[in-house]
Amino acid sequence: MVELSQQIFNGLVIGSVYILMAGGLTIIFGVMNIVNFAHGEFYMLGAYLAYVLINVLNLNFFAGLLMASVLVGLIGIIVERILDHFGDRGETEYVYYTILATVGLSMIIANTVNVVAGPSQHQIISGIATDPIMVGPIIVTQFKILVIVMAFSISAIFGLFLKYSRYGKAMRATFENKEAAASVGIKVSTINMVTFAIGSFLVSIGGILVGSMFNIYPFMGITANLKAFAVVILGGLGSFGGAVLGGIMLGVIESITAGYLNVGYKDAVSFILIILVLMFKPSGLFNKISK
Amino acid sequence: MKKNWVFLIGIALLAILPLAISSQYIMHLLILIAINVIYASSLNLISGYVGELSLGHAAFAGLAAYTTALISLNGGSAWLGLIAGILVTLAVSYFFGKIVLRLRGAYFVITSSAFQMALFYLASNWLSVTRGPMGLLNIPKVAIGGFVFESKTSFYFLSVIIAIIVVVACRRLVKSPIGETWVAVRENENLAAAVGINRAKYTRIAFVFAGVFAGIGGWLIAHYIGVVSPDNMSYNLIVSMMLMVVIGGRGTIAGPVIGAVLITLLPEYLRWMGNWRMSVYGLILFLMVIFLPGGIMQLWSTIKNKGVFSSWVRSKKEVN
Repeated sequence: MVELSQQIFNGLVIGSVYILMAGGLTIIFGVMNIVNFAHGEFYMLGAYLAYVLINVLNLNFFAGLLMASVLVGLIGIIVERILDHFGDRGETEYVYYTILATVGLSMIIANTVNVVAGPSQHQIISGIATDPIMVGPIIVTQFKILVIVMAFSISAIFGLFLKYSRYGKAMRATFENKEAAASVGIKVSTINMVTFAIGSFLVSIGGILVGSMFNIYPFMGITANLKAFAVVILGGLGSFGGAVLGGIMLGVIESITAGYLNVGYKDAVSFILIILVLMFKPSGLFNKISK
Repeated sequence: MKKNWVFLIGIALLAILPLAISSQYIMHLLILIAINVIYASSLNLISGYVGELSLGHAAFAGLAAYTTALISLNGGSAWLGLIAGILVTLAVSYFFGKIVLRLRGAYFVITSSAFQMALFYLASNWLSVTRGPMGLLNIPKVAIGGFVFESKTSFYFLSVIIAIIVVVACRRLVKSPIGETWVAVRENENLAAAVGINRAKYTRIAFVFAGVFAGIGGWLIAHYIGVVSPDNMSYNLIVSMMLMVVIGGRGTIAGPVIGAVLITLLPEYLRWMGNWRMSVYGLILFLMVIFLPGGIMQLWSTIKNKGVFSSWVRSKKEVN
């Protein structure tokens, strides 16, 4: 029982990172219909930028985290402006070519970082205590609790933003129907830009948190991105709430698999899960509306 | 008629090519080109003609490679491995095609990618069978009777003959009524449904053929290199297959062949760039998709249609 609750706690920590990764991916898909294969590279870029700001330039952890993620958000805007050009191709062509373009982009970013920064692993030094603390029977660290708190408060803030703010409402409207949204005066291209920036910002925070708990390396984005896909499929493509639930679920399932079955199978589990969900409930486990 | 001549001359050239080449290294590249032609042409059936971006394609190559490796390491012949590999890829592509072809666009891409990743991690971790990342080593060569395909030249003929068979089979398929349904569905699905085309049925045929062809490619590479590891179904492999199809020109027969030649030779030309090479690949893909989405075949047809070449010839004649 103690072991199980420990696994669930660990799963929650990882799940929190998954929420940040998948939340961005899912809103970008929802609003723009782009499956962003370079999303994981934004996660990696955020971690590297934070590493430079925090470890090399000795910035405060939170200042570095914020600056790096804002920078990644700005890079996201540039990428969105480029992808925007595919808008005038037909719909299936659009999906096809935006995916290929982001695959190309992910190769460019990951390999360039690999050459410039070298393939070795680094860790971001957060300065926050990582000594184990006993909470009842389970072992936690201050940093892991910070990860959970940050992920949940950020997704709560973003959830409220989506629900109540003007931009959030405009984003949801664009998701529902692009033409109708444009016809009531919503600037779809601005919405696209904001969405891409927020998505990149969120995933960058995820990368920085992972980089402070474990390691950063140039190709960390590739597996991360595929994990984000798994979460998004579990939660339903385009649903932010689904990404939150899917993230926690995948984190906990993986952690339990690693604990009881075999660490090696933990990665395969998420992909088998995707296939099962798509076989039986392609709209996602937590999505009531099928889209 | 004209096309047949070009085809026959091409085959004759391929047959005498080894006589002109003494370098083992170039023979090695030619074998890799043949195998990549098989990969790219088979992927093109789904990604070019049916029009769905299949990121799971490398998994079929890997499945057949592992099948034949396990069989021939346990005393079976390579030909038994080929038959088993075909049967495995046939069964898996049939059942997986059934699931994945119900999905479109983004869902198709992610599911096919998940399929490949699931198998990749399985191969990496199922140590008792696959030996994980260390791979299965010393896979025996292909042999007929007493003749072993040991030398590069003999394996060149084996792989080129198979590559030609696959390309011709792809061409036959595409020109057949079945292939026409793929294009019909790709161009206008509602119209195709209205004239009674059963999308699920015909696209599954494409998926199964593509899977089996990729498996044959995987069989060749397993017996050529002699090692099968998770790299035989990696994300990098599918990206390079995709590059071949896109750079050559998807939805054409010649496109993937041209793409396979270029993408196999490109690393050799870009060797001086060292590690920047992969970034350059990414850049090439990115720029192609933006400026030349139809690949080299699109460039070719623009030149042909605009008559750049013929008008150039005409102007030369006028000068004379």
